[in-house]
Amino acid sequence: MRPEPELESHPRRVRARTDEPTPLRDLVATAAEAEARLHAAEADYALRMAAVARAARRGGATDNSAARACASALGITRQTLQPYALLGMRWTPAELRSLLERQDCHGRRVSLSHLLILSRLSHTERCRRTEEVFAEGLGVHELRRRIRASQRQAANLRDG
Amino acid sequence: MGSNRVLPAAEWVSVSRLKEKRMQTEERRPPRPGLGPIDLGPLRELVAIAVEAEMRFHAAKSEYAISMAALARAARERPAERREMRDPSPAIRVTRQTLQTFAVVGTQWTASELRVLFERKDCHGHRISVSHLLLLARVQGEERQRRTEEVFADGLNLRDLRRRLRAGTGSQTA
Repeated sequence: MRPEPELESHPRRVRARTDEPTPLRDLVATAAEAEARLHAAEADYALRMAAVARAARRGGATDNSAARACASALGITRQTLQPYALLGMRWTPAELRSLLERQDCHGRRVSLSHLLILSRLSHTERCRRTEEVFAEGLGVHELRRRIRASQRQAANLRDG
Repeated sequence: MGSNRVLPAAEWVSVSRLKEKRMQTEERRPPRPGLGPIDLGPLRELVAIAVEAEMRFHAAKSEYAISMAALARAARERPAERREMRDPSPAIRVTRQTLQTFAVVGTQWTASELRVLFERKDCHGHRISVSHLLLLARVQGEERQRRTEEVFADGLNLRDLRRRLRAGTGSQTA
C-alpha cells in the first residue's frame, strides 16, 4: 500500500492506525472539517470555472472555438462549461462568493447545483427563488420542482 | 468502385508518395478551428487555475467521502456510542439517509482502498464517484473486482454501469 505522508500530521488519523478505535465524536469532527473544506473547494472551483467560461465567451469567437478549447483543456465538454458562463454573467465573483458562503435556515450552504438552476431564471424570479432557498432551506430537487410547477402554471395561464 | 481495384506495384509506390506529399503539405497547413492542437492564448492562465481548482475540489470530495464512510461505519458498528451522543447527523448537517449511503460505502471498502479508487482515472480521464461505488457495492467478490476494472477500462458512466449490472453482461472488449 502506498505511504500516506500527509496523514502523519493529522492526530486523528494517526490514532486511527492504532488498535484503539477512534471515538465517534472525533470522527464527526473530522467529517465536519472535511465538509467545510469540500464546500470551500467547490466554491473556489465554481468561481474559477465561471471566470474561464466568461472569458471564453468574451473572446468574441463566433464558432465557440475558445469555449471548446477551454473545455477540452479542462477535460469536460463544451456543454458542461456553458452553464458556468451563465454563473459568471449572472453574478460577480464577490456575489458568488457571498452566496456560496451563506447558510440557509438549517445551517446548510447553497450548492453549485442550486446556483446552476437559479442562473437560468430571470432577474426578479432569481432573486425571489434565491431568498426562498435560504429562508426555507430548499434542496436541489425541491427547488427544481417548484420552478417547474410555477413554469407550468404560467404556461397554463398563457394558454388560457 | 475504383477504391476496390487492386493496384499494381508501380501504382502502390505512387500512392505512397502521394500520401507522403500530402502529409508534408498538411504539416504546413493551419489546423482547422477546433480540430487542431489546443491554443488557449490569453485564456491559458485562467484554465490552468481552473484545472488546479478542479484537482483541489476532487481531493476535497474524496476526503469528505472517506471521512463520512469512516463515521457511518463506526456509527453502525458502535450503536451504544451513537446513542450516547444521540445522532451524529445534525452535527455534520446531513440527513440520516445520506449517512446511510456512506455507511454502505464504508462497510464495503477500507479507507485506503477508497483513496486508491478515488485517485484512479478511467480511460476518458474521469474519476469514479460515490454513486459508482454504491452501484458496485451491490455485487460481491470477484464480480465487484471485475466490474470495477470495467468502469475504469471502458470509462463507464452511471447509466452504463447500471445497465450492465442489470443485464449481467461484461465488457464488450473483454
